[in-house]
Amino acid sequence: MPFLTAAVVLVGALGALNLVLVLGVVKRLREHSALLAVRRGAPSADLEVGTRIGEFETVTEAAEPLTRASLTEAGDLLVAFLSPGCAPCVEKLPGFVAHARSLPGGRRRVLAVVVGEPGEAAAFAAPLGPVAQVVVEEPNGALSRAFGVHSYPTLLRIGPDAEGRPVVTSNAVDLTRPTAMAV
Amino acid sequence: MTGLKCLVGVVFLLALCGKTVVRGGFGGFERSLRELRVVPRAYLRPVAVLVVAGEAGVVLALAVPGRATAVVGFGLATALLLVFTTGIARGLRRGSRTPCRCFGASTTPLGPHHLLRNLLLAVLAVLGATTTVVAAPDGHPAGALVAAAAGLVLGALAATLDELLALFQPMTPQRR
Repeated sequence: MPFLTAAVVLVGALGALNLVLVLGVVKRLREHSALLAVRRGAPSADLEVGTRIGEFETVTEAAEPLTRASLTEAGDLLVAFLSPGCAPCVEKLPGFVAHARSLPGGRRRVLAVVVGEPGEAAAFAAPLGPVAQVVVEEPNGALSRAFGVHSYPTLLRIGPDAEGRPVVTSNAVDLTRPTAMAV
Repeated sequence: MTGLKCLVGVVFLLALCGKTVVRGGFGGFERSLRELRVVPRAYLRPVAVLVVAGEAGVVLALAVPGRATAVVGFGLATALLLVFTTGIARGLRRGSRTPCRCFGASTTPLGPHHLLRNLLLAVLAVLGATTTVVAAPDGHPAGALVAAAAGLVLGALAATLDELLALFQPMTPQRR
């Protein structure tokens, strides 16, 4: 009997250990999947001019609701997808903030989407608050899906098409030249 | 009863750790509450604090040996789970697909399986409360030990359900 008890305990312990290891592997695997998805992300240049923006519903950091219909209410919109994990984004951030500040129409005409782990992303998004509408979301969040953006930094300009639906009007945004946008 | 105590206790303990011990856990939880769009903005912080306090209460009440505290713990757990389920159901109805940060960081959007999980856990908590009230105290210590082990394992599995389900879904997100 004691042998049997010992054997059952041993088998149980082995099973538990196995479970712990498998859960660890599953967690790591998910991290890898996320990394792969980021790596395989299409370059933003293949978001062609004229691409329609999908339906979405989200909230900005200032808790303003944002939907596809409200995107281009104020006219053309500069959209930046940034991620705290990408070196070029960190480099470009001050330039982008300065550029956004120089735009006529103020923060209603700029949308910054910061994609990443909420804590990091919120800290990264702090300087953007005064100059842009900021949305912080996880990878593959509502806006990433609606725009089809998986690589960072992605800069786009969008405007209403003939039917008033928002479409990509430029995928080569130059941050160095303040542009006068037609209202 | 011991098994159910361990199961429900572990689930709430893991939820609590995911929201407090892990760095950025609480902020993330608060943000996910906001994106769920069922709590008015003014009440976000108090609601988040209340949820964490409630979870801590469940863990404490179930950890203390004794019948009365166990009943209180199971009751509190049931109430919390029903509140969560209602919140998630309303969020889903409004089309909110924010990831569930029930157990800390997660990228799985809210879905029906979260509802099902919470309802099952609520049923188990009710069961735990009734057996505590009705049944005789635990007989054999060895039996209690086995039940406790089973409860711990099942609780851990319930808490990692998102990860396990994600294993059986296609890895590439569907292109629009």
